[in-house]
Amino acid sequence: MQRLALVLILALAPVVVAALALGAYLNYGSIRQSYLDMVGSRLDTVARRVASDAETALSLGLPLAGQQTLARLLERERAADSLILSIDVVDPANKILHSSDPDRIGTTETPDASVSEDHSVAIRNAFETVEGQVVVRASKPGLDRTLAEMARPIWQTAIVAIVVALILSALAVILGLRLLRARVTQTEAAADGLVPRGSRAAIVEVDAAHRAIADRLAGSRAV
Amino acid sequence: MRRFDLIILGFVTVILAAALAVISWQSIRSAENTLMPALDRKADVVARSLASLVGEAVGYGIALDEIVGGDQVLRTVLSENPEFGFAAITNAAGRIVASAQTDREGGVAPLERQMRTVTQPVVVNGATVGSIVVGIPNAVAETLLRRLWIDIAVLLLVSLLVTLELLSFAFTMPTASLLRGLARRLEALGRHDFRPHDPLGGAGPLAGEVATVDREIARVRREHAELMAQAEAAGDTDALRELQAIDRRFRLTRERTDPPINLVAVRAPVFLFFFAEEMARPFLPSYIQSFAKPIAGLSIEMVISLPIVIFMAIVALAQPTLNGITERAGRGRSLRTGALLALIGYVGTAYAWGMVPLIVFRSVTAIGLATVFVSAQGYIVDRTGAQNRARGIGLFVSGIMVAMLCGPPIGGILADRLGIAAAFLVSAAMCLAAYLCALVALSGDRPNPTAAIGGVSIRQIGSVLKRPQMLTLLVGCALPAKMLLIGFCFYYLPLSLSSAGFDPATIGRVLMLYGLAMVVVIPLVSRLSDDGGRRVSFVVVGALLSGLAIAHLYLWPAPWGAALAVLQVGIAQGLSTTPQSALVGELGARYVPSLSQGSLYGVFRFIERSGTAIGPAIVAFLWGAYGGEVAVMAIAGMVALGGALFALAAIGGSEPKPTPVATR
Repeated sequence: MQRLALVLILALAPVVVAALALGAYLNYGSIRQSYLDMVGSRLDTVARRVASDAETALSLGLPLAGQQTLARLLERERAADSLILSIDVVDPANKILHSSDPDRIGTTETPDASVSEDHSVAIRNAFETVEGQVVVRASKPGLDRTLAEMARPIWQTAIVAIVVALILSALAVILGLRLLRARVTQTEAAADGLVPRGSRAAIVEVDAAHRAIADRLAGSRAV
Repeated sequence: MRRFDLIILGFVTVILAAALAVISWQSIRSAENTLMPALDRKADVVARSLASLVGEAVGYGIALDEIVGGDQVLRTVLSENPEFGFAAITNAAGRIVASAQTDREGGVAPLERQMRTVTQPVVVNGATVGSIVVGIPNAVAETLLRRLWIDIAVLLLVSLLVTLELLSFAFTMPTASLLRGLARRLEALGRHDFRPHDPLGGAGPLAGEVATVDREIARVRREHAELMAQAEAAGDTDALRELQAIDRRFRLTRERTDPPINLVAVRAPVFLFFFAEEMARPFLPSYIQSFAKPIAGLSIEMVISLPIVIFMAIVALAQPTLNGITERAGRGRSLRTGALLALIGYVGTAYAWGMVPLIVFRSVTAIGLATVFVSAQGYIVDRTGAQNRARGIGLFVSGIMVAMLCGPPIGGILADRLGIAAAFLVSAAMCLAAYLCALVALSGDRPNPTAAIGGVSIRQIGSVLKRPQMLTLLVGCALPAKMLLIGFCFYYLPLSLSSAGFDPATIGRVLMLYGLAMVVVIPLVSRLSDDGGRRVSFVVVGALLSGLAIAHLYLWPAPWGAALAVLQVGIAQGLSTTPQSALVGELGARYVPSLSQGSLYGVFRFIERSGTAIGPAIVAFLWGAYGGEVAVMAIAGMVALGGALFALAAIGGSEPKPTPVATR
């Protein structure tokens, strides 16, 4: 019986762990995606606003490289959001023309997924030709830190829930097996051995019916 | 279902539901801490952007109250940012001049009481002329997580079904089978059921009790038979009538058709294995699409269908030959080999680097799948007789049906959250679990080196198909049914839904409806069609309903149309599958008496399986050449036409009387 209980518990354990771990991951994944979507949408909005200003200036005949007032706008937007590493305006060859970080001006923008998550919006002139791009770089370590802070309590709760669920499942198996065993091991004597208590009633009933018919048949033979 | 299983299942349901609720509650709290500040910032950025836009317009000389199209701009903002409850432009006095999702005439004060708000001033030449107000509902975190409830519900359902399978498997252990065997005897006697049970053997007090109960049952049955003989000899009709009444009540002369208890052992590996394959259904076509490159002379749809067609063709062609091979090698050993082959196939598919490696690894999986299917079926056939074979096969088929119900939604969720490669690796892990289950439960089988390796010959196929009734049943009904299932449900729908932007989790939930319908309908129909002798009607109605199912695609928006279509195909095929299988035996015995039942069913399975390969090929060809609508209408038309032709052919000959068919 102990071995059976162990086997049942071992069979149930992976199911309980997998279900709860996947459930926790679904919850975490949903919040993580919502957070990243929110941040992405926010960065896109910032990039669109900068692009819109640049396009207005382009429509007035001011080339992208000559839009010196962009620098102030970029610095102001960056300062408003601590998650933003830099906001750059790049030409079609990815050379940084304007940036909230003056050290980056003149360098080539090279995306690095381990450092930043980049969101870009194209800057188009009146003829719909792409003149450049606004690149908003969000701090990847900053994003990861926020997500880790959010994940910690979820996983802690999930681990506690898994442990408690495993203990309760084990108790359920032991209790269920005890009930089952109690049901089949309460015995009573049959013709040639012990049978479970509940099984005798039907046997006794058939035996009685058979005996009555046998007696009648014997009686009629005697007559 | 056994009482013990119910108790455990009840406990597990409550434990899992409570634990998932606690995890979700903690997630909502964490989400609030993370999402609310992020949402405030986003609202701030959006409000500043709107304030800049409105300020620009006012700067051109348009008075704030006269701005045209403000409502439309705000509605667009809300549709792009569904987390926000409202957005409004107010003038310097605080009156709303443009708004979305609120009363234009009212003020923002009532909304500010219901939601958190972010306000940005509209500044023109240093003067504040108005404000932008963006509202955020307080329950945004709960709303975000509420969208998860379907995934959580699916997860719970699948966990419970897996638990049930594993409980059944655990009870195939020697001691456990004695315990369950004794409980089964007790329950049977409680229902006045004196049909004899298969002996369980073993040693110890439990084995002694089982043997005593069996001896008691045998004694009562023997005494009943003796009394019947005495009453007949004495010509005592009253006694005979009474004995017959006792027999009716206590089933003293009937035999048990339950499959032997040790056969349950084969169900767990089969379930786990098919679970692994079914998991790939929602994302396999779009995964193949990611590797597909144009090939001269083939449409891109045809290229995408190639791995599926080759997979199905291998399964169809290999099965007849594999029966003899697995018997020679031993069913258990073959099943384990098949599981290992599939494991290699899934790992390779997860890391495939191009179309050719993908096809190679899917082919390896196909050989594994065919081997597992044939080995498991053979294991049951070898251990059952004519009386309980149908039940034994039912055990195996229902395991596959439950896998069809569980696999697609979980596969979809995994692919959606962890990626397709991870989902294939989980499939590989399931194959490993199936291998281990088979190793534990099916280790004692004996190879039969003298077993004949047969197959289906052209002559056998010809002799079956030359009769119109058999031709229309096999080629008109069985073949198009599988064409529709794989071509429409498992190739066209996942690909078209994925192209329409639906995630694998949604596609998985759509596809699970097929398994759900089959699990519910098949047991009901088996009895109804047998009792009423209405098998032809069930097959014809099933075919017509299957054909009509595609109408849902044009009646309802996606994915609801697809879901209803899959559900209707499931119900329709649930109606026709069992009667169709039974009719093969009955019509075959009448029209092709020279062919054994085994050969007859070999031909049937071969033709039916061919449909799984032909279906996606035809759909892909028509899709590429004439468009998706033509493809699905053509395949649905073939199914309905086949059913109608079979009805006409059946009217030509009278419907056969119902007889039990072993391979049902």
